[in-house]
Amino acid sequence: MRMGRRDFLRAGLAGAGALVACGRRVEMPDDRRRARSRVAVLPAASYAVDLRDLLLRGLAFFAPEVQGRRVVLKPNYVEFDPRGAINTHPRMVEAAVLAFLSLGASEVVVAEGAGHRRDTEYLLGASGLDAVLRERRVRFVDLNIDHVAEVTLPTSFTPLGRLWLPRTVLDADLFVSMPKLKMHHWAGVTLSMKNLFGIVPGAIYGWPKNVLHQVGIPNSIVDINAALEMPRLAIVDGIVGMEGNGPIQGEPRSAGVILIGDDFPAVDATGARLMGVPAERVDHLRWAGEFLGNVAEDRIIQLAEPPARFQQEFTLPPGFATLRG
Amino acid sequence: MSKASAKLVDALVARSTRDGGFSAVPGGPADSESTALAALALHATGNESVAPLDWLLARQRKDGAWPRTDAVPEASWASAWAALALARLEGGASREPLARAGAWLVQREGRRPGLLARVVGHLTNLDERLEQDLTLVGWPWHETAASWVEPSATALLALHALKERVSLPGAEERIEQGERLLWDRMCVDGGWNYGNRRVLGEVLLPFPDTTAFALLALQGSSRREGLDESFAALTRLLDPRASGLSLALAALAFELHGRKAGEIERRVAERVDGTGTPRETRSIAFMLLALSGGADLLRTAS
Repeated sequence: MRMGRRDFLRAGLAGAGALVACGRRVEMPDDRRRARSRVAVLPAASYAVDLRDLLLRGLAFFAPEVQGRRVVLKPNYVEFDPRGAINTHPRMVEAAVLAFLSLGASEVVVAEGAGHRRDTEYLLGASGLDAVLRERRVRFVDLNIDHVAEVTLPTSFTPLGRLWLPRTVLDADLFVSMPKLKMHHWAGVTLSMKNLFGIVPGAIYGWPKNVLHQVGIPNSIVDINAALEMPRLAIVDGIVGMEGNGPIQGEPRSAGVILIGDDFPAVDATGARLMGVPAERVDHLRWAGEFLGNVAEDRIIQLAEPPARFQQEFTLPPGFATLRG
Repeated sequence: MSKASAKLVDALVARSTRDGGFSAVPGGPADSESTALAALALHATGNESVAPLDWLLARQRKDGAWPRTDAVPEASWASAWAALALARLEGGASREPLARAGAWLVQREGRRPGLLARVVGHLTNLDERLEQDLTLVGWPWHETAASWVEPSATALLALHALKERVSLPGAEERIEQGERLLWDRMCVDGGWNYGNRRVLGEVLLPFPDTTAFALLALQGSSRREGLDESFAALTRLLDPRASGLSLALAALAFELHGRKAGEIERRVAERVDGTGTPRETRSIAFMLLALSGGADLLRTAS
């Protein structure tokens, strides 16, 4: 009998005060969840609409303190394929830059540490992001080669204990994760939490960031997210998402939606449900939902539009049939 | 010196740091990779500054490796570039730093799958789906990671350079297995990406920069099968979107394999004249090596 990947990634509650993650017993971290979290679900038919205005309407729900502050945007440019829908659309990045500047940010920086390609010049140029950055005179920071600081991980879903992380992210007044709405062939879904693999510096950990894969992808996602302390927002590009064999080789799927929220697990749980995936069946979301943020549906207030309006059944990644089964 | 080369030299010098090293981007701290590549590139233009070599010598660890920066003290994959630069440029009497660097490179290994991972791989048919020989050992990016294409390629280049200067027990075996690993990781239609032919049964495509790195490292390989396919793949990958880094690495690979590189070198120069110098020091350094006759510094075959 062939054993499936899911059998090895299964995890669950193991009694009071501890979690078991991939067979690893983890002391229950401090509960950081709010009573309830809010996620805005905004319709956006295409990248041709006034995205800046749309983002401003969504951001108004959260009233982020950005006056005179430095905002760091982290889109997903892990790789580029002209036929695919891998990346946060450059128009979304541009709209976010303009929105935060109009809210009074002293500087908006775009930062990414690509996971597969070292050649950032190629990624930025080929994807069209470089043209946007030049036009808007926005500074780009390659997180793979940024100044770093060693951070003690407050949780132990992995045995890593410590990670070098980029100062540009750690020192941000507001950090904004800007993922694409995608399926992921190792993690189930990739949204604002998984997007943080791109802050781990390749100059230390390599391309791909194999160290994180070896200690468990869902485990690493939770440990990295739990290590961040600065104010955060998530803006998910779900105008065109990716179904099937994401995050690189899946097929584009129009979803016509943007998600905004200040609780990453809550935003990602909403995104998973929009793709027809029960969030509690995604390992990293289930674990994060125990302490880091809200994943349970009855603890998330959906703002703007009802998510059911946008819900679709994205094709699952290979080997993930149990996500819906 | 051409106008393009002069621009690249200016850009490189602007990335030098007060302590004699070079940073990856303007304003950053000096790091071992940027300093080593800058030293090689400047040497190719006739600049014999010893400051970057002194920077490297001062930072070599007792075990022979180099840290990435002063702030990140652990042994870095960038040690291969530091070792190569010293082997090619450092004419001092003491060969001890070279021997120490070589010994470290010979013992540095990518992590092999453990027993549990091998059992899981067998049960899930992983090896077959990856189409990879997981028993082969090359070099990792990080001490706890597996073997990947770029660190393996740079370690091979460094070992070739070091063994011309010092005796290195075990180097030949590592070179032989490192070359086998690179051939094993070659993409289905030639060329290389970061180091996976397939994921979950899906074919993965090559990248131009990693393809060129692998070809540079395989200059002396006795195997020829796959070479023409990989140069064909590299040529296809040099489309108008190709970066200055990829063009430069490709030009070096073509030249060191005795193939015509003139057209690619022309594109490197045009890139500098058209869009200016790239942001990253290593891109500037490789472009300068390609335009200034620096290929011999990376030559491994006599």
